[in-house]
Amino acid sequence: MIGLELLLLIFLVFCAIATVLCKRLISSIIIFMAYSAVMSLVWFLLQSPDLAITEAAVGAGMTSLLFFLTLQRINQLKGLEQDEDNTKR
Amino acid sequence: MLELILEQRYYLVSILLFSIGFVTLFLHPNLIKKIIGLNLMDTSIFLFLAAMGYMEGGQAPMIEEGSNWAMYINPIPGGLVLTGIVVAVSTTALFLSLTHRLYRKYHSLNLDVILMLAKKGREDT
Amino acid sequence: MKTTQNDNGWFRRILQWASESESEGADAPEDPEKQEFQEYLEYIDAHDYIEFGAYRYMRYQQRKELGLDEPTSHYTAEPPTPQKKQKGKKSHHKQGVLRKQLRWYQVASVLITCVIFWILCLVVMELPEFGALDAPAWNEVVQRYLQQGREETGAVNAITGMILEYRAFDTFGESVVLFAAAISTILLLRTPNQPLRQRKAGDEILKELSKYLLPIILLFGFYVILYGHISPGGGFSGGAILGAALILASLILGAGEVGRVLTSKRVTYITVFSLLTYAVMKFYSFYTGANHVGWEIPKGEAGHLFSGGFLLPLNLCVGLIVACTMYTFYTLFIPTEEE
Repeated sequence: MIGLELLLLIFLVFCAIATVLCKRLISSIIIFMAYSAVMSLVWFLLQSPDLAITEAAVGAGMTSLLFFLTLQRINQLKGLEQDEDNTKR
Repeated sequence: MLELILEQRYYLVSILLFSIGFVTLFLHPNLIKKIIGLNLMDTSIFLFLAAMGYMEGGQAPMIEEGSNWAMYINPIPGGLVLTGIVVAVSTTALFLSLTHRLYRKYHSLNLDVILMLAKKGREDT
Repeated sequence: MKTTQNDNGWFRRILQWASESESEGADAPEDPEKQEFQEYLEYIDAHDYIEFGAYRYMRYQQRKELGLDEPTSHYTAEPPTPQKKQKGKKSHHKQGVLRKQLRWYQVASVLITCVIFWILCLVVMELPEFGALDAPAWNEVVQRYLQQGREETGAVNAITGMILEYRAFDTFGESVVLFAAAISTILLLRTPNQPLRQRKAGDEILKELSKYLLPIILLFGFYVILYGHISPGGGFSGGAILGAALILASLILGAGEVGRVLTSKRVTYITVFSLLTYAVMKFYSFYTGANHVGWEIPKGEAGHLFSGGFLLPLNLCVGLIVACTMYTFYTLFIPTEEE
C-alpha cells in the first residue's frame, strides 16, 4: 500500500515539474489534467470519497476545459490559421 | 532520516508542490503558466489539510449507529477542502477571463511584454 | 540558480528594450517584432493614438488584402526561442536600470522560495506523525462531530452534516463567493450582441453515444446531490457533476440547443433563487434553534432519504448554485463568432 502511495506522490511531483517546464501551453494543460486525475486517486487513498468525486469532476474536467477554451479564444484572436500552437480539439 | 521522510511523505510532497507553484508564480513570464502555478499551490494546500485529517486505518466518515468515534477520519479538513476545490475553480475562471481581456488589448500573454507595452502606451498618450 | 543566467529569449528582449536608447543607431533593427513596434510608434505619431492590438489587427487585415500570408504575430503564446544573432551585440550594451532590477527580482524570488521551503521542511519534521491519533488536530470538536453528529444533524455523512449544519454560515459564504465570481466573469467577458458560434454538427457516434450517456450522468449527479447526507457526495460534488453534464450536452448538441432552454437569464434566476432559499431556510433554523421556539424540523431517522431536517433541500440549493456557476463559466468562455 505504501508503495502505491509513494508511486502516486512521485507522479504528482513529476507532473507538477513537467507542467511548469513544458514549452507548449496545450501540453502543459493536458499534463495538469493528468495531475488532477492522480490527485483524485490520492484523495481516495486518504479515505475522502467526497473529495475524490469533486476533484475528478472539477479539477480534471472543468479547470482544464476552461484553460482549453481560453487558449482557443486567444488563438482565434491571433487571426492565424497556420499557427503551431493551435488548439485543435 | 529516511524513515522520517517516508513517514511524513504527504506533508513533504505538499510543500514540494507548494514551492514549485510559488516559483512558477514568481518567475514564469507566461500568464497562463502563472495561473497553473496558482492551481498547483491550491492543490498542495488541500493535500496538506487532507493529510492532517487522516488517521491510520480510519474509515470515511459515514457514521454507523453506535460505533466508536475513533474509527473514522477527521471530517473537518474534508469539509474545508470540499468547499475550497469549488472556490478554486471559480477564481481560476476569473483569472482566465482577466487574462483574456489583457490579451485582447495587448496581444501577448507574456507579462513582461504586457508591462512594456503598457508603459509605452502611457508615455505616448 | 540557473534562472539568473538570463539565457531566455524574453529576458534578453526586455534587456534590449531597456538599453534601447544606446543601441539605436544608424543600423535598422533586425528583430521583426521590434521593427513592428517601431512602425507602430511612427504610426501613432502620424495619426491618432491607437491600441497596439488594434494596430496589429489592422496591419494583419491589410496584409491579407494584399495577399501576403506571412505570419504577423510574433507574440506567440509561449516565450520565444532565443535568438542567436544578438549574442555578439549584447556586449556593447550598457547595463540599464531595468536589467539590474530584473536580475535582483529573480535572485530574490528564488531565495525567498528556498527559505520558505527550508522553513516548511523544518516544520514538517516537527509535526506529529502522519496518521497518528494523538495529533492535536484530534480535539474535542472532532469528537463531538463524530459522536453526536448523527443524532444532532440526522446525517450519516459527517462531512455533509458538518458543512450544512454546524458550519452552514460558512457554506453560505462559499456559495456567495461562487455567485460573485460568476457575476464578475460575466462583467469581464460578456459580449451581448454577438451570436454564439454555431458549431458543426458533432460526430454521429458522439451524438448516438451521448443519447445514452447523458441521462446517466445527469441521473448520477442528482443521485449524488439527493443522497448527499447518506452516502459520499453532497451539493458541491453533485453540482460539479451536473455542471459537467450540462457542458457535455452543449458540446455535443451544440451551444444553441442547450442555450435555448437554459438562457443566461434563467441560469442567473436559478442561482439567485437557490441562494435566497438557502438563506431563508438557514435563517429559520438559526432563529428557532437559538430561541427554543420548538418549531424545529423533525430530524427523522438517520439513513433514510427524507431525514436530517433541511439537509436535503440545502444540498439541492448548493448543487444548483454550483452547477449553474459552472455552466455560466462555460457559456462565457466559448469563442464567439467575431471578436
